[in-house]
Amino acid sequence: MNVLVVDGSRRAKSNTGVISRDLAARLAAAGASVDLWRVPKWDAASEELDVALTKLAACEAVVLVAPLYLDELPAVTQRLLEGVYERRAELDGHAPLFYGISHSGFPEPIQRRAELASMRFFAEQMGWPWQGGVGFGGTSPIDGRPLAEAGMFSRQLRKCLPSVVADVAAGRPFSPDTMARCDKSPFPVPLRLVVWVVNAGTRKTVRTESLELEDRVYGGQAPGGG
Amino acid sequence: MKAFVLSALAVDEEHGDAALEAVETRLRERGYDVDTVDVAAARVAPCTGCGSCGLKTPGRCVVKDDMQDIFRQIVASDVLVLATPVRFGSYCAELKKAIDRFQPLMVPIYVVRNGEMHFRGRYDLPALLGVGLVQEGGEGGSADGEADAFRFLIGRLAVNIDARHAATAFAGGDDRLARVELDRTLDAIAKEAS
Repeated sequence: MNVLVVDGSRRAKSNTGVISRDLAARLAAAGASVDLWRVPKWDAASEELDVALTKLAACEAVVLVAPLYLDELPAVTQRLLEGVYERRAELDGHAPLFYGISHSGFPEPIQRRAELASMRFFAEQMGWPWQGGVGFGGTSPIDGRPLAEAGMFSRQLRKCLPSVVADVAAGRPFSPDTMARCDKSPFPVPLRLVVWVVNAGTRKTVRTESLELEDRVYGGQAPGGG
Repeated sequence: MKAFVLSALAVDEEHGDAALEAVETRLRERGYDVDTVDVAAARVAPCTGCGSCGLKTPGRCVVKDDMQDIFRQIVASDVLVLATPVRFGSYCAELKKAIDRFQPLMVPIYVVRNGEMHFRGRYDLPALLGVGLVQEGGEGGSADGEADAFRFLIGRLAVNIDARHAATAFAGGDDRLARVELDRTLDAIAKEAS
């Protein structure tokens, strides 16, 4: 199986890159031939589209790994998909299997629903077999570290990626079990406690560095009109 | 009353101009002063996720481009219209480039909203109106499915940025139905405001 893993983030030291590299290594260990490719910068999108089409023509399966920017794919990743769709005729009917992985710091699966739906619409409009999408929440604390070094914050990923890899390497759709097991909150405590702990760290930074956290530099009023 | 239209409709060369004109006309008929920015023509760089607007320069985006003025226009308006051709059930990339930059509109303190974890709002934001131009009969796609996905997305954005109201209207396709839906959503916004 030739698999193209697309790292859908341009952010420096991104968790998307961490997950993509880990996934690629696991797929290679499972016997797949893996090509790991990062979504191009906005300004290079036109030239890099030729590269993308060459890679897509050579693979049997694509796994798009994407962060969540305001409920959806980052603009650079959306632009790549739009570019591929516009030039789909150049793929001459080639239709790789398409898998999606969405991750974000927010623990709730509903936060990733729109992004995974967009990936599905893309696959359907390309005429590619949609193999399903999985989400992972609470990934922010990984903070660019390899999954093996991120402790409890990468536990859900380390636990579930073997199932993801098994499905992709076999060329089968994500099983309902895989999809259900992946997107569970990695935090073993109530949400309000998670919020309190994270905010405590932020408030400490604010005090230490004397930041004006509530500044409204663009004018306007505070929520509620105050 | 002021309506600020952040539009990428020009990306659709066939229907975009007509759709934008219809939206602007409808808003003016209802008494709004309308300002429109064509995001595809504006100088808007993609978000690099640098995080400065969180804890380095709280609330301020360090990228000096047209988003600085767009932020001012957003917080000074009563209705924010996000107008876009719908691509895979989502905003087109040109509009998404601007939306990706919305993080300074929020404070990097988490709250539980709708039973979910979100950032706290920084501003009293305008009502949110999404206008999606859905392609009819696209290959392999379902226009209804994409319309529903876009409505869901606008609702999610409203929760995410703590906007007072989420509403969605559709231009294109059956223009009469689009106008009915646009009127209905503007009615809802007016009712919410009163």
